[in-house]
Amino acid sequence: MEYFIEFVQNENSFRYVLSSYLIAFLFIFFLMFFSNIRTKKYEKEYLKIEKNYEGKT
Amino acid sequence: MFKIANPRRFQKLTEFIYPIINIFAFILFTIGMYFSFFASPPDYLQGQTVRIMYIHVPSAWLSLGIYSLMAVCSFISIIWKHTLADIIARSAAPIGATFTLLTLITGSIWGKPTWGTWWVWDARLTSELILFFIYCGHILISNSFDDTRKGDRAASILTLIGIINLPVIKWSVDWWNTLHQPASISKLSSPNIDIQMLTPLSFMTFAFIFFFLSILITRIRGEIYLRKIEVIKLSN
Repeated sequence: MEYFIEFVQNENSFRYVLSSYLIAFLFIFFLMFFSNIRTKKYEKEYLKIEKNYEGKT
Repeated sequence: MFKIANPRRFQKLTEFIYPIINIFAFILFTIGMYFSFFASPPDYLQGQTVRIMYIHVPSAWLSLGIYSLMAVCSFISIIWKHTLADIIARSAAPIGATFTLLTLITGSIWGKPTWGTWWVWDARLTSELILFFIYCGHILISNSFDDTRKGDRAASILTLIGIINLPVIKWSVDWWNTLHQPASISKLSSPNIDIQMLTPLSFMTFAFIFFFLSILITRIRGEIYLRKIEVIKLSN
């Protein structure tokens, strides 16, 4: 806890460290989010096409 | 090995391991964050800004690791024309590009209070920037052909040519006089870093690896669906 309090009180370093972590979180979050959306979209499309294809044959 | 690398078997296997990987990623990340902020001391020279290391270094390692994985997949793809190798390389490229960009941005933010500048054209930084451009080139080339196989082949060749950049990144700090510090952790010697700093760095590295695996599996599954759609459309 002592290290954390010392870190928070250090105004100069705090903004650099915080912005780095925020950017890292955002990057990883967006990467996970958009990858999931993309996969769900293709999965839906595939299931729909497969259903139609099976109906034809 | 190729039996396991069948796309259908791969999807079945990943259905089982995907949640486990996610759980591991979040647990390791939480522990890593705790150690990064609560249990690791400031550096005697850099002070509190040393905490940027716990996200900058894992990102940098991943940027190189992902490229190595892509190079192996490209090699397999060119020699044995294995579809899953193409799918893995194509799925890993955007993740690698993101981690390389993250390395450059966090390095730049770390550089400002440490070196007094956001950017210098030093060998390590420039070679990492080139790696980012190679990743972008891979993504652009693999998507610029109507025939997916042609795109994959062209991208594989680019990846194999670009592998020459990896040793340059790794040893640039030894070959040239750079602002960037030399490696603190090497396979051949004991770590040059205190255990209190090595612990959060290790946890964050493993957390990042598990995040990468989680995103990679998601993207591979999407790519497999996309190729199945293409096959069905072609056969109609």
